[in-house]
Amino acid sequence: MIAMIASFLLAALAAPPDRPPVALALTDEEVRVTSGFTGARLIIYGVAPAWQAGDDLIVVLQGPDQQLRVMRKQRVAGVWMNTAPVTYPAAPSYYAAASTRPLTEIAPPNVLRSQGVGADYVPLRPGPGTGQSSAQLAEYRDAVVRLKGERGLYRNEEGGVRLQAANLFRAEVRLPAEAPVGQYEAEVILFRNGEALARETTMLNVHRAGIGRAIYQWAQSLGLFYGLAAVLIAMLAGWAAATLFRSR
Amino acid sequence: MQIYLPIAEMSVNVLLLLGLGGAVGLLSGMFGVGGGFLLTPLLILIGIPPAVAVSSQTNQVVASSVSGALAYWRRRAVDFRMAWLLLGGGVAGSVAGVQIFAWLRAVGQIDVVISLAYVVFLTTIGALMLTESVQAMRHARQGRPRRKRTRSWVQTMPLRMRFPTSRLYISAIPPVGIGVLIGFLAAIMGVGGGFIMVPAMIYLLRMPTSVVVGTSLFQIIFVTALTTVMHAAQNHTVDIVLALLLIAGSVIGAQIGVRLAVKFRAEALRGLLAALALVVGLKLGWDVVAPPAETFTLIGAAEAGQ
Repeated sequence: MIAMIASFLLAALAAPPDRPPVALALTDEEVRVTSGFTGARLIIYGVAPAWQAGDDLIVVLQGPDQQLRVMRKQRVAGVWMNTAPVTYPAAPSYYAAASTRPLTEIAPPNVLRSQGVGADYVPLRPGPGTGQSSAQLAEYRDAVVRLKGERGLYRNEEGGVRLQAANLFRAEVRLPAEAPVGQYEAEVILFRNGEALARETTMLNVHRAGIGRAIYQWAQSLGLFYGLAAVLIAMLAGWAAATLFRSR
Repeated sequence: MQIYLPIAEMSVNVLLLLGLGGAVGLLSGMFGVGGGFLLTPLLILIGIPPAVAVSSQTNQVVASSVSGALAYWRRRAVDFRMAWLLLGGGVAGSVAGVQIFAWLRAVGQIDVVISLAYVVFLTTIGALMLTESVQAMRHARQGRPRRKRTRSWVQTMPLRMRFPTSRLYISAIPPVGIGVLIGFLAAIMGVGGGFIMVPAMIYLLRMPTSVVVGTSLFQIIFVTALTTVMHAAQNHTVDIVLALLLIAGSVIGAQIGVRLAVKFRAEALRGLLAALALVVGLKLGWDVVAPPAETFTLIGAAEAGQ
């Protein structure tokens, strides 16, 4: 572990000066979702050779993009129905921004927005032809951030990044059980005087382990057989119950 | 104790699911209905995506109806000829229902349609059954015989068939039609349809009450089995872990229910079931018309079935 960090540290120091002076090393490149999983803490270690006193670090973790549709409930003939859909063709399924200090103390809102840093500024571009005004689109956007936030899927982790020793940092984010599996992108950004100085991106794999993963894959690839098996199991369970309890 | 549901993609308390299954099994044992009409809304309430709740719940109904139908079969209380006719209609209705389910999900209206379907059927049938059972109880108390049955529109239709077990000579069209409706509802609402079929058989087809529940359960096995397979093949929304936990709970609940049922009179049980259906229906109806706290809905991966 220490050897690994040290090797990264050396690699970062040895890097040519035009390379961004932040190196990122992950302790877990694989995060497994197993039965009984209630949400994991993801811990990322890294080194930031360019770090000086007063600098800030932000670690942004993004889940695989998913198509997301948002609909607004409106009263139609007395009934509240979902209407006026707005589609985001590629919205991050999960987004967390861990930082050394509250984001608003690190950089002004316009910088955070342009860098796409913070749950409020998750990159969300609606697809064409929504038929909504920009003011309405802002409401939809707020709704996505709010609803995803309530489920812990879009979150800020103030104080989630800590400097350990020298230039070594440790970022910690919560990954709720609902967070999907797949390729995640972890990005480290070094801020100085309210400006993004350098950034580095690493991919990590979040996937299901054991029986849960097997079931999921089976359901997706062999749906028909999965369904037949489910029915067979149910019928056997019903038959077993009827037989077991008959004698009593 | 939490367990991870691989298809719903969330963790749920095992005891909560066993308890829900148990409560629903209790009802099915007492009343001879699958209980799906109560379980689906409850599953949605604890955060299971509606599409997964409906499909997995259908699989649970397979188990409970097999268990129930076997018990009635041993008592020779299944009208197979009637069951096959109902089933023929049921298959057609179920195929259509799964297609419409997929389409409604794609356009984001599945939730409101599920709710409205529940409201309409629960309140209508609840009210009808409640009226009937109150009348029956009153008649029983006064010792007067029930009103003589009149010829309904069902008796005047063509294609008449004999149903020896039910001692009926009626047209084949109404059973097939009822079958289509039940199959359709099984797919849309995740229910076996017992709470609609049982009253339809008693009041429309005029089948003897003794064979109604067994026949209904027998055909529900096949309709829900087919619906489960189709949901699994087309929508990938059957969560087998969720279904197994519900099955385990309901099997135990059903046995307790059957023993409890013996202590009540049939009319009183029907009245109780009717009141329950009415309450659930009115609650869901209120939710559909009351202003929601959150006016936006996310239709994400789990709901849109990527």
